[in-house]
Amino acid sequence: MMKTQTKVFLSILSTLILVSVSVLGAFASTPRWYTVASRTTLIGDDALPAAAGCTKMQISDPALWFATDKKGNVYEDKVVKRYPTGTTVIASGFEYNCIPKNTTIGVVYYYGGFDTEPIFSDSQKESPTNKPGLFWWYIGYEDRSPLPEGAYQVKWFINKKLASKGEITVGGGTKEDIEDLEEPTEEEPTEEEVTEEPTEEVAEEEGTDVEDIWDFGEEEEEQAVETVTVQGKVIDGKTKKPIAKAGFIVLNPGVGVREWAENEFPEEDVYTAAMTDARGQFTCPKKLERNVTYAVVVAAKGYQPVIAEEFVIDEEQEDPVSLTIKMYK
Amino acid sequence: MSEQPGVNRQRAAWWQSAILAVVGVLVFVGIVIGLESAFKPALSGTGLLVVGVLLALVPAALWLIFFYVQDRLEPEPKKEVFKIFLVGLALAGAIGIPVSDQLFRVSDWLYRSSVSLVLGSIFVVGAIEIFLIYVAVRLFIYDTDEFDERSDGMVYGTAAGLGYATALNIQFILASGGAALGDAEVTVAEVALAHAAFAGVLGYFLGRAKLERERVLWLPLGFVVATLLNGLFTILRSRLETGDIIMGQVAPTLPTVSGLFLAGALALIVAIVVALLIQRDIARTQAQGQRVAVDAKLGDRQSNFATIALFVVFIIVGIVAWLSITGGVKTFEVAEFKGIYPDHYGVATREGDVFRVADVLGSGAEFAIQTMDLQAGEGAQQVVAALAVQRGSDFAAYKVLESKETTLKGKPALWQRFAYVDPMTLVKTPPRLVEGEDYIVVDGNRAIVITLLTTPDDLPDVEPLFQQFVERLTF
Repeated sequence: MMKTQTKVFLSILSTLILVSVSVLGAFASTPRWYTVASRTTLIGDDALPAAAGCTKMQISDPALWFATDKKGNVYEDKVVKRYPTGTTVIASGFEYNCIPKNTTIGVVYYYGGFDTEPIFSDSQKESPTNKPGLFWWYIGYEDRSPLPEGAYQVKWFINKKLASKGEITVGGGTKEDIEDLEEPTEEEPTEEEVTEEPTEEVAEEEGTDVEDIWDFGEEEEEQAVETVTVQGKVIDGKTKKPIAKAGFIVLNPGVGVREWAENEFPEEDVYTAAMTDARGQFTCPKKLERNVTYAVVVAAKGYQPVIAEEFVIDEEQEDPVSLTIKMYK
Repeated sequence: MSEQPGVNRQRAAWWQSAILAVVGVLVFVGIVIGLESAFKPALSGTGLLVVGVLLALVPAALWLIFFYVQDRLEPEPKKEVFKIFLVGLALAGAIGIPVSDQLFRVSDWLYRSSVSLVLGSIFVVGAIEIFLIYVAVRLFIYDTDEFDERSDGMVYGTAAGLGYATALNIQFILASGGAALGDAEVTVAEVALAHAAFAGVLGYFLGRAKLERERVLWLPLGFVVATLLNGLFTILRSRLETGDIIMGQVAPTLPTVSGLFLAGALALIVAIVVALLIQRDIARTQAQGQRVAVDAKLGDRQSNFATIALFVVFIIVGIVAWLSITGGVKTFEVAEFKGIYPDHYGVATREGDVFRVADVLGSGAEFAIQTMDLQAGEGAQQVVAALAVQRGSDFAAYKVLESKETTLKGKPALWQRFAYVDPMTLVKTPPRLVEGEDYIVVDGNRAIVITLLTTPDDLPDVEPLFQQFVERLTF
């Protein structure tokens, strides 16, 4: 029989091993973020009104999301409604009227909802100014790999008090999702204003044309991204008989099936869809891009819907790619 | 009180034959799959159907054979057992399956959400099946002298359950037009084992109710336990067999057996647990004296009524669930249009529409509202002509099949039924026949066109929903 001390020792040892594995595992799965905070004084009067003596900092709410490119440049005169697939950096920020003394700005980024664990948080003390301006803080992976598609959220804190928040989707963004922040005034800035508050650590490259933001993506993707025809057959998993009138629905990148269902199945979220014929066969009207994650739903009357949240066609699949879909009652 | 012969005898035959039958069925399924893989029989059409139906009888036949062999020493009238099997089969074929499939149309809505799966599995499918198995035993054997042992509940309950399962299996084979033999046998065995298990549980409660003076709520409790087990099995199996998307061409694969193993495990567990419970009951009775309910007709009747009442409650819950799942609606308000549309439809408004919804995950049917400007002197006929031009150019063989004048919201309207062929621009995609209806209402200098688009097959199901959409629309 095992002695009591030995039992206790083994229990403690196994607990320690479990804890170590969990902690190491948690560290191993944590993405290594590369982040930059930046601030720019606005030249025109398009921001919040300037304060003569700044006592209270006011910031725009909801938070802004600035256009970025794959090199990590942030275009602070352009805001986006959605980032494209393959985005490597996202930049949330806000307009402010002024910054009083002893102001600390804090940021918390989330992925998948405000109720999830933050993916990044930080804060920094800002020097005071009476001029209005822009502040942003971008995050991306250290290795500049594309960010996972999905919904990202941000909360901005001024002296630990929640001041603004916002949400953006990565994936499916197009050039049409870029908007000018606001037209700057035609008035020439004074020398004093130009030299005031130089931008610190801005990643934007001199002379970069804003048009390049999305053109670069399109150019690259036109060359690299290949589209594939998707066809297949839907069968009863038990009888192997074809299922007629089954719907094969592919959602836009970045849209999950749960989100789509919660929003009451809007057609605008559907990337492409097809219905099977009497032989259970279908062909999607629109080609799918390789290495892009789509959510797919297959539905047929009397069968459990089949859901694939991460449907990716990689280089190994032939064009057209043929699927076999098994459904069960 | 004198002890009745056999009342306190553990019928070894029942549970031994049950366990052997479970193992036998699983072995038989393996043999069928093996033979099919080895010889690849070229069966089709009627031949496949006949073989399929014969295979559907195998699980019940195996159980009856094992029971017959084991029962030589403690004979139970085979005729009565077979009669209850046939009653279970007949009740399923005549009432259970038509009510579930034709009246409740369970398969149309069961998998719409987790809630519908739980409510439908327990309060509609489960309640109907277990109640009919209860009826088979209760009305056709329970009050006879043949039902004189505790284990008789399981014997006759299982026979009724297997009868019910056999009806389901025959329906499955016929509806599928004959499935591959191995695949079919897996399904058949799964259904049979699962129903034998549910019915065995109910039978245990029936056996004790007959042989002991149980409380009035004893039988209703048995009904609840068996029904919950039935529903939980459906839910669990659906979680195990969720479907797959496989990259690549169709490849011959072995049948999916997770549901079968679940049913086999359930049947074995039920056989063992019930055998132990009976043993415990017998030991307790021998220690405390028999509580035979010889003069307990009144209590028994009350228990029977309570079971029926409970079934009624279950089915009412099932009806409420069914109506709210299939009849649920959402409201909308677009411009001056307000109305409702089916809960499971999604908004699909396109350019040129005021509003459009579609049954994206189901039939694909669409309800649309559009408006058209009218020139002075123009009316519904001009709209009919414009629609004909538009549809005639977009699609093939557009025809108005029926047309009549009517009123909508107190305004004169024109109703028409039409059909056209959508050529489907994709290569390899066959043309699709579309059938629909228009309500055209002239409202000042504009016309409101409310349109239904569906297929001829789905029209009978979709039309009532469209009528509701039209009737509840205000503008």
